[in-house]
Amino acid sequence: MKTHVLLIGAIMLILSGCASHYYRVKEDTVHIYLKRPNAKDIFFVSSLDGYELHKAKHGSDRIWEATAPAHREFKYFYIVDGVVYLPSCRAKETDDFGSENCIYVPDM
Amino acid sequence: MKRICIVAFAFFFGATVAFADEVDEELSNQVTDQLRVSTRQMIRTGIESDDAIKMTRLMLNHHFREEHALRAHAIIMSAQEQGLPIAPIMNKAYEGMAKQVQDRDIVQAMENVRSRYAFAYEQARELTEEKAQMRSLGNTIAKGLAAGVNDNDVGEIMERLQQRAQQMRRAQTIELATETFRAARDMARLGASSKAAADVVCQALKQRYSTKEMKAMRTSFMTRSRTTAPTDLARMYSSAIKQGIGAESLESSSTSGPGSMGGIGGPGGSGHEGGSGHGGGGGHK
Repeated sequence: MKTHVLLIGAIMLILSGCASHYYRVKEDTVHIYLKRPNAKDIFFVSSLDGYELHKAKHGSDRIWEATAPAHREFKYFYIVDGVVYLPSCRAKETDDFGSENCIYVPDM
Repeated sequence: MKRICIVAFAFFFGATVAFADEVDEELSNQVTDQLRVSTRQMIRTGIESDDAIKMTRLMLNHHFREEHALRAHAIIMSAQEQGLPIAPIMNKAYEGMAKQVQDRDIVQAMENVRSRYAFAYEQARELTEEKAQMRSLGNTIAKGLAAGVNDNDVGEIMERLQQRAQQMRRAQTIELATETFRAARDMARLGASSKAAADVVCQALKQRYSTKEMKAMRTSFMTRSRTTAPTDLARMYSSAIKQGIGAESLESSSTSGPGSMGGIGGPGGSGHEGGSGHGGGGGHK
C-alpha cells in the first residue's frame, strides 16, 4: 500500500515537472509559464489590451514567463519565433479563424 | 429662434471641423478620402474617436485593402446602431491582425462576432426588455456561443428557462438564466460538446434547480473535469440530475450504471504535457 502511494506520488511529481504550460497565482498577479527551451522569441498576446504583443521573459532554464492580473478573465495565445502557438490549456474557445484561444479564468 | 439656429449651426459646423481635424491629424496621407469619410461616420454614430482612428490606422498598417477596411467600418457601425457591444468586434479585428490573418478573413470573423451578439441579445430580449439586464445576459449567452454552445442548443435552453419563468419573478428568472448560461459556457470551454452541456443544464432546469444549485453544479463540474473527460462527465451529470441527485451531491456522487460518476480518467487540468505549434487559423499571409 505504502509502495503504491509513493509510486503515485512520484508519478504526479514527474508529470507536474514535465508540464509545458502552467500558471501560478501570487497575490494579484497570475504568472503564466511556458516551456519552450529551443525558442528564441516568445510573445504573449491577450484580450486584456486588444492583443498587443508582449515579450515573455525567460530564465536560464528557458521557461518563459508572462504576467497578467489574476482577477480578470482573458483569452490568450503565444507567438513563438513568429508562429502562432496554442499551448495545451484547460479552457479554450474557437477564435473564428479556424483555430482556438486559451482562456484564463480566475479560480478555475 | 434665429439666434438658436445660428448657435446650433456653429456648434455642428465646429464639431464637424473638430472631427475632421482629428481624423486628418491622426491618420497619414496614405489614407484614402473614402476611408477618412468612413472613419468620421463611425465617430458620428457614437464610436469613440480614439477607437475609430486606431481601428483605421491598424488596418492600414496591416495592409487591409480599402474594400475590406470599409466593410470592417460598416460592421462596427451596424453593431453600434443595433445596440450591440462593439468592443468584442474590434478586439476580433485586433486578434486577427496579431495572428497575421488575411484582411478578408478578419472581416468575416468580425461579422461572425456581430452576428453572434445579435443572436445572443435577441435571445436575452425574450426574457427581459430592461436594457442593462438584457445586455448582461446577452453578453453571457454570446460567450457561451463563442465557447461552442450552438444556436439550436441555446434555443432549447431558452425554452426551458421560459417555462421556469412562468413561475418566477423576472429578477429571479434573469439570475437563473445568467447562471444557467454560465454553466453551459464553462462546460463548453472545458471541452464538453454543445449537446452534452445543454442537456445538463436543461435537466437541471427541468428538475427545478435554483440559481444557487446551478452555480454549485457548475463549480462541481469544473472540479471534476480535472480528472474526467468533460463530455463524459456532462453525460454523467445529466443522468444523475435526471435521477434526482441534487447539486450538492454531484461532486461526491458515485451512482452506478450508465450514470456512473466514479473513476479517474481523461485529460488533466492545466499543466499537462503537449501543445500545438501551428501556423494559426485559415488565410494566413
